[in-house]
Amino acid sequence: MAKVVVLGSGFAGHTAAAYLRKNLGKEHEIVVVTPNSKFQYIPSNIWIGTGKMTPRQTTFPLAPVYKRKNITFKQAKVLTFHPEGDKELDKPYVLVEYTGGNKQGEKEKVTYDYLINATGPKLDFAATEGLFPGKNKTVSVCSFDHAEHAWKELKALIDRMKKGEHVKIVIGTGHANATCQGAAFEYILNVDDTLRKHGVRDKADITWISNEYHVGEFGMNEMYFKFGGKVWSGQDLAEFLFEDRGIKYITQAGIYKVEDGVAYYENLHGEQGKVEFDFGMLIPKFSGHGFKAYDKEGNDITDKLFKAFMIVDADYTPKPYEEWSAKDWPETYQNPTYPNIFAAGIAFHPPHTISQPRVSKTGKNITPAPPRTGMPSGIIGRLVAENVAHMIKTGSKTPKEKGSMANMGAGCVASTGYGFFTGSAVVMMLYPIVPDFDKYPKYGREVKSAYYGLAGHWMKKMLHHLFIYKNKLKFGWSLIPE
Amino acid sequence: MAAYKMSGFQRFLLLRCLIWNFIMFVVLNLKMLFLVAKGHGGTRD
Repeated sequence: MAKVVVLGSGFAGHTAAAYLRKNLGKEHEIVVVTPNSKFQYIPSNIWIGTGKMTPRQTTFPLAPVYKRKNITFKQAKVLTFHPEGDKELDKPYVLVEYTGGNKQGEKEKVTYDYLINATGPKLDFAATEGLFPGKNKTVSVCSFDHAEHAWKELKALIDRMKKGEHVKIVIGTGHANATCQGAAFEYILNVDDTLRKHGVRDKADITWISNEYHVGEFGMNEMYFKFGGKVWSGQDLAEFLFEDRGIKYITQAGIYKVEDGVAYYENLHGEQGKVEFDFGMLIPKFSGHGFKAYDKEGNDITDKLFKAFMIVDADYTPKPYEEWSAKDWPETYQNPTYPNIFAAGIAFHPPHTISQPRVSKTGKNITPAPPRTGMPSGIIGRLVAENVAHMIKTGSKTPKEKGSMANMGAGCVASTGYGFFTGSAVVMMLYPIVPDFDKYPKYGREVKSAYYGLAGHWMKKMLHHLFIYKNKLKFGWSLIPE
Repeated sequence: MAAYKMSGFQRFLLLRCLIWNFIMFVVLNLKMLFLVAKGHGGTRD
């Protein structure tokens, strides 16, 4: 009998736990440790933030799902990693502290045979001075409660606009190395759509601000799509949408400070700038959680497990952009020092960014971090689970399957408005996620199609229902791809 | 390309014409399934 502990219950962790249960018999124990009591379908947060959905529609409690599937659920957060055990306990374990239920505040050593770290990112608002949801006129849509607050603030703003006030709205990234531009992109277009539907769009100046080299880059380096019989870049597509809706844009901007309704930034030319707003949604930097790891003797071995995120089988050798290769990216997500530890989703440390790194004239790095959305996170979670199940069943210490983000596709459905007859979305298909210039010398990727229109909204809405059904692990869940 | 504007017909087709959008919905789903089948990564292909 083996015990597998999964840390986290987002796309990667929840998918990993589900596939472990599917692939392993009941004699094996699966434990999920997560500080959250609910699963949240994050892609729909932009609709909570514009009042189109409530958190009730995008979340569900995890405990009944795990109980039904015979998965042990511990609502707790990880404090420290002990991959060799300690002087008293001769088994690897993680020290956790309960965050809910009867045991709240209690600590426990949770032992394991295999560990899957899917703890996601820390929303590092503190990395930007003055940036925090509810402070200095800023909001966030990174979690359902943040998004709910964002809608409350936006609604109040709409009421002011209806009384004739002219306002400024700024949406984008709040740090020079922030990622998740896609969520901010969807939010700005949905805010535009919401203002139009309330008849107050003429009362707002809407501005996009981001650390991308140009709009539509999304931390993915250059992207190209077939659209309307031509090859469009991501920049063409984003500029077309912004121009069509009268949205201004500032790029190459690393925001470093936010004061009451003012964001200060430096751009790649080394110039200082500021942008004023009455409502600002700025995505924070995503950081590692700062976990510590200790060996049997109690010595600090954090550098064997973590950089900012968890070390896996990537090539972390520092090299210039020209020498980057698709082969740098991990394939098994296994820690090289402790082969029974894996990281999935955002929790693994990437070898480098996907975007070309750029430094301002004053030496400030203004480069988006590599995004890892629900689709690759789910795929990696499944891959890791299948490998762990294989290792348990065969006694092998080597994972069987390999899957790199350099041979993984992603479908991105970016909402640009809500409504069965009046909604719209951009659908972008990308293969592979990490460009491979050896295989695709011209663009680094296959040029797949993009689409913009009402059918995109139907697709996004369908995916919302489909993935909530899948993640509730209802009948036939595994037939729905990640 | 930055100044590209949609014509009235394009706007109707993409945002209002239900038959066209239903066809596109089916096509997009098929394309997405193809992408998923192709792009699950690595040795499982």
